[in-house]
This record gives sequence, C-alpha cells and structure tokens, in this order.
Amino acid sequence: MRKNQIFPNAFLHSSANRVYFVFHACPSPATPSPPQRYPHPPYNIPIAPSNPPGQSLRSNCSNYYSNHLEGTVLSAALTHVPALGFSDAALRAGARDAGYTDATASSMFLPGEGAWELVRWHLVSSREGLGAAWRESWEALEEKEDMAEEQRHKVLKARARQLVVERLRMNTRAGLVARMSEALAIMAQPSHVPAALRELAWLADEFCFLAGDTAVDGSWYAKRGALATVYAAAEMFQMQDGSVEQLDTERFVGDRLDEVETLRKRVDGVGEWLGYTGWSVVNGLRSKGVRI
Amino acid sequence: MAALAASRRRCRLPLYDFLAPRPARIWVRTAASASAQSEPASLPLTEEQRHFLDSALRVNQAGELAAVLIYQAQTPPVIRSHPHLRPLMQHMHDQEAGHFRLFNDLLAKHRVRPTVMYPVWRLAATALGWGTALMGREAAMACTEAVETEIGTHYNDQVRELLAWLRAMEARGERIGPELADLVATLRRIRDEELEHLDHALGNDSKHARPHELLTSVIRGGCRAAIRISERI
Amino acid sequence: MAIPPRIALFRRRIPQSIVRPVIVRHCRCFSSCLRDAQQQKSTSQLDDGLSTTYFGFEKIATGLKEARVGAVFSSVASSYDTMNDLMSLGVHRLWKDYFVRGLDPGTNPLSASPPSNALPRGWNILDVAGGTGDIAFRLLDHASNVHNDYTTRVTVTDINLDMLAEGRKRALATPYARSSRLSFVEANAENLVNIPDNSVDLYTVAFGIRNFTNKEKALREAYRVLRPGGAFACLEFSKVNNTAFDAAYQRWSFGAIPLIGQLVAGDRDSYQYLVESIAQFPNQTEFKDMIMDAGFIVPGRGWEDLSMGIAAIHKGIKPVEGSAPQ
Repeated sequence: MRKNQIFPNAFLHSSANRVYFVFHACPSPATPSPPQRYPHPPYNIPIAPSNPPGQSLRSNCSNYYSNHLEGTVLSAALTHVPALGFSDAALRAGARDAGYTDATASSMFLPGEGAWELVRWHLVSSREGLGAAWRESWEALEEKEDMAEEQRHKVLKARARQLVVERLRMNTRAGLVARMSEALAIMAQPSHVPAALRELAWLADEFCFLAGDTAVDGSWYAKRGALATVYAAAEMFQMQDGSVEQLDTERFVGDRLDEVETLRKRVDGVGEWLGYTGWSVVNGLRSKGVRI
Repeated sequence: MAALAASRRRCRLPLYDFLAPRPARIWVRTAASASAQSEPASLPLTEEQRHFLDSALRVNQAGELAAVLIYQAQTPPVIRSHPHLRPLMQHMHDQEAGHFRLFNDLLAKHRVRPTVMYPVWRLAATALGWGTALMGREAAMACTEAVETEIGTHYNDQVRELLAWLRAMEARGERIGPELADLVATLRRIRDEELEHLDHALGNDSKHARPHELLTSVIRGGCRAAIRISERI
Repeated sequence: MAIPPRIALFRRRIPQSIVRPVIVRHCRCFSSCLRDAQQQKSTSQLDDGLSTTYFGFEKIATGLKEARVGAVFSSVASSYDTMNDLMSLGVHRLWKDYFVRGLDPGTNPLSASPPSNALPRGWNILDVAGGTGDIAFRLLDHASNVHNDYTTRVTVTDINLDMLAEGRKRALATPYARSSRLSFVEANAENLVNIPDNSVDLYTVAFGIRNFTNKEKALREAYRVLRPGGAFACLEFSKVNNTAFDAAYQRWSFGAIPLIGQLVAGDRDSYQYLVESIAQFPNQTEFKDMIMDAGFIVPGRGWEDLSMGIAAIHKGIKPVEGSAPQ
C-alpha cells in the first residue's frame, strides 16, 4: 500500500489536451487507497526527473506547473460556486484565494471558457475522489472462483449502487446541487457536449473499475452504458429532490439499478434460451447422423 | 459460453505498469538545465505510444477470441472424421485460450476497452470455424493456415514497432522499464506459437484443400479487415 | 549674424543620422538613402566580428537594430492605422478587440475582495510598444464599461517618441486624456527603468515584440515587473497553420504589401521590413518556449491562433511564491 507516499493524483484522461493534476499531501491513513488488486495504481504518475539528456522537454502538452496552477485555482474556485455559480466571478474569487490575481483568472483559459472549465474540474475531481469510496473488502470479483454468476452480479450491483450514491453525495457535500442545473446548461452547449459525454463515460468506467468488474467482453459496453444512464437520471432527480438527506435519490438509484438488473436477466435469458435451443438442434441432428 | 467464462479465471501474470492509464508525457523544468544524470531516466509513454498500445491490445484480444472460437467450432466435426487429430486440436485450443486469458487480464488491468465488434466477431469466428470444418479437414486446416498467417504477420508488426521504441529510448538514454521489455518478449512468444500453429496446419495438408487459393485469400482479407476495424473501434 | 565659416563647415558635417527624425517626417524619400548610408556603415562593422541580428531578412549589427526599427516606426507613426489596415485588411481591429475581451481587465469594485485588501484596487496594466494607444484605450474602455472599474490604470510605453506623440494625440479624444488612468512613458522594453519590480498586474504587448532586438531580455523584464500571479499577454503575427493558406498568405505578404505601401504611403522599405520581420519571428511553439524559459507558467496549449495562425495570442502567468519552478 502506498498510504504514506506522496504522489500526484493525476487525472487520467486528457481531453482537448487538458490534463489536471491535483497534489495531495500524504493521504490521511483513514481513507483507503485506490484498489490494490494490481500493484500499479491508475493514480500513480511517475514524474519525469530533470532534463533527460537529448530529450526535448517541450513536448505537446502544457507544463507541469501549468497543471498545478489550474488545479490550485480551480479547486479554490469550486468553493465559491455555491455562492457565485459556475461563472467567471467564482473563478476570479478562486484565483484570489489561491494567491493569484484576476489577471490569472482571465488568462488561464480561452475567453468565455472559464465556466465550462469549472464544471469540468468538478466532474474530474469528483471522479478521482471516488477512489476514497472504494472499500478494502472489495476484492476483484473474478478472483472469487467459487462465486456463481448470479451471486457475482448481485455483488456488483450492490457495490455499483454504493458508488453511484457516493458520487451523488459528493454533489451535496460540495453544496452544488442548487447549481447543477447551471452546470447542465453549460454542458449542453454544443461545443461542450462531446467532452461532457466523455466525462460521463469515464465516470461509468470508474464505477465499474472500483466495483471490481474485470470482464472485458461484450458486456463491458452494456454495463457502462447502463451505469451512465442511471447516474445521469439520478443527477437530474437529485436536482429537485427535497427529501431529508436526499434519501429519495438513493431510493431512485436503487430502483433504476433493479430495473437494469431485470433487463439484463431478461436479455441473458433470451440469449441463453437461443443458445441452448440452437445447440440442442445441432446435437439432435448430429445424433441422427447428419454430418454437421 | 461456459468455456469462455471458465477461461476468465485469474492467472498470475507479470504486471505492465508502464501501460497504466496516464496523461500525455509530463516533465519538470529545472533551473539548472541538463546536469549530469546519475542514472538514466524512465519516462511515461507519450500519448501516441499509449494509443498504439491500447489499440494493439484491443486487436490482440479480439484476435485471440476469434482463434479460440474457431478452434472450438472446428473441433467436433474434424475429430468426428479424424479422431487422431484430437490431441493437436486440443493443444492448439489450449494455447489460444492461454493467450486469450493473458490479453483479457491486460485489458482489465490497464482499463483498455474491448472492441465494439466483440459479439460480431464471436458470431463470425464460430461460423467460420464451423463452416470450414464442415468442408473437410483440409479446409479447416486451410482456414487455420490463413488465420495464423495473418495473425503472425500482425504480431510481427507489433513487435517491430515496440522494438523500434526500445531502440529510440536507448538512443535517448532512457531506462527501459522491465514491463515494456516483458511485453515485447511475450508478444514474441505468442507470435512464435501462432507460427507453430501455422506449421501444424501446413503439415496437415492445408494446401490440399480444394478451393485453397480462394479460401485462404478470402479468410486473409477478412482477417485484415477485422484487424483494421478493431484497431479503430 | 553671419555664421563663422569654420562653424558652418562643422554644421555641414553633422551626420545625418542625428537630424534624421526631422528630415524623415518632412520628406520620406530620404529613408532609402539613409538606409544605404547606414548599410555601408554596418557592413564595415560586421567585419569586426560584432554580434549580429536580423532586421527583416537583413543581417545587421545588434546595436543598429534599435535605430533602424526606430526609423521605420517614425516614418509610419502617423499612418500606423493605415499600415495595419493594409497589412491585415482591417482585421487587426477585430484581433485587438478579441485580445482585450479575452484579457477581461478590470475588477468590479463591489465584488468580494480578499480580506487582506481594505479597498478594491484596480489593475495596474503596462502596455509595452503600444505607442499609439490602440490596446490601452480598449483596456480602459473594457474596465470602465464592463466592470465599472474606474481605478484600473494603463501605462503605455514605447521606445519611439513619435509613436507616443501620436498616442497622446489620440488620447485627447478619449475620456482618459487628462486623468491619472493613462500615462505615456518612453521606455525600452528590454530595460524598463521606470517600472519597479512586482508592480504590474497585466503586461500586454501587441504587434511590438517582433521588433525587439532581444526578445528574451524583454521577456525577462516582463517577468521582473509583473507581480506574482500577474499575466503576460502578447498579440503578434505568427505562422499560419494551414499549408495551402500559408502559400497564399506568403504571396500576399511579400508581393502585395510592399507594393501597397509604396503606392499608398510612399514607403516601400518600411513595409518590406515589416513583412520580413513577421517571417523572421519564431513560430508559436518556439515563442511559447521562450516565454516558459523566462519563467512564466504557460496555461493550456500555450497560444491561441487567430485567423488560422496569421496572428496568435500568447499568454504567460508569473508563478506565485511556493509554486515556482525550481
């Protein structure tokens, strides 16, 4: 375990050449580290040492400190979003908090993209923060060989539910539920739609990865698509949920996952029936002497 | 289907840390530039390299899936007429199953997505294996010959590309991680095993298949198209 | 009173380079003759092994570049707008508007201030090589109109007195002429003696940096005067990113522009220099590297192409203590 190691918690996926880095000091011992099934952590980024000989340092992406700058300013700005919304005003307030100036806030991003960058930062930092929701007891599902298929699905569903609910709770904890409609409006702008959908896809992948799902067959897409849909619907529901501690949202998530499970069972059942029927026909014909 | 589920059993594999999802190459600027290095640097992969490896692993997994299914579908009809081929078919199937497991684990570990055409390739491979087996032993062997030729070439290209990377890294004075070297060695081994299957197929009269040229060219063309499609989606 | 013959002789031998500014303003036809005279002077100095730099495509001694550039801008000062309009077909106005809009200068005094500041402080902006005040007026207008910020001030510096005079003249038409918000200072961007360290919030240079003799020195000066967290912003002609369009652009630049300069302004050489200096300027990536070398953090990709790369906006941010590159 690398609990005492200082490492950059890097955001894995760069979209549009933007890569974020968040630097944590030693994670507190109470928070579990990301899954250790494989000793490589997807969160561990080795930093290149100083100037390797003969290699141009100035490669395609922005520099290390640029990312540090964006991380610092955006995370500070996110604390102002409940009051000021996803806007340039929040970005400026964040820049001031981080010790920078208003000039920094204006120059950091392309003109007019400040609000979108705030939204994207929230999406990416929440996704990365999901690692804290991972439980040490969640071994890889594939390692338990004696587990029946149905049992495996049940376990996966329970873990996925916990993760989706945790992610929704992050919205509440950050005080952003009231501003979510603003964020959705920004994400719905045509130039931002592809990036927003990509974030949703990565979030679904994160859910599956942390829940311990290692299947890489045709169900890879089905699972992620289902989780993405459930999460998106739940987030919309959360925006107007007025219940105590948003328990209605959790119930909503549970209900949707149950529906997904039912659908999966039906599709699998149909597939199984077709398979068995087909093989029975073939074997029947073989027993009759047809050479197939 | 049950065989595939069983094939997903865990097995101990070397771990390819270098493939860990990570952003584009990052670096740190220091004020004192290019002072003497005590040891060569080890840098993460570039975006292009990572993209290449993603699609390479994806294609390899799809290829091994197809190989496993072809052997599974071919075995019953071929063995019915030529029972002495059972050990050979079993051996080839087991080797392919091992490759398939390896690539499944790699994809899961490095969070590489499988190809969208997965169910399509399953159907196509089963149909191809079954169809050629029904045409006779020679046709089945010709199918194996065609598929293994294409796959062997494909692995060869990948090995060549990775060796070029290693040479470039050495020229730049970077340290080559053990995982990357491992991957190259593994791909070489798999390529050799595939070529061994090709030899078995040739040894079993694949050239005597009646529409040999047509069969092999159609199958090879299909394989090339499938590789190209799987690389992209 | 008659001038003693000896003094008259002395006066006739005063080098024309000293009285050049006066002559050139009244009669541009001297500019080519002066250039020939200086060229002869410069070739002899080159043989001594002095450092050289480029004046357009011409290699000259470093020490002479400032004077030569000064000559160019003195000659085009009064028709600076015409020159820009000809070179960019009027699009430079759009570029400058976009540049200033992107910088978004000014802070609303009613917006929350950090607890350390008692009163909201307007931006202190330094516009370098902005003699005629194009950018400065836009910055002040934006701060006043968009953010209701009447404390943001702009200091316009330029090495060329003629350009500054032109700027002062134009400022009279704005509300900032006699206010403390706008000042015109003569200064060399490579050596900003009047500007203290860590005092500037925003440093802008629009279509000026390609004329500097030593860009690295100017960037280091920018780094010095900016306060931590301050922004450096540069709008400059750059390399077109599309090969086909680039071919057409080169034909236009080298074929049409000096000709138009000759016909409209009667000064072919100045326009030839301007076009050559654009070609000599480093491309987007190289310039981004120069900015990073000076110590700035370069956000995002490092630049923004305008009109497919004909112009580019480069930005850099001075790091704050504790996060500076080691």
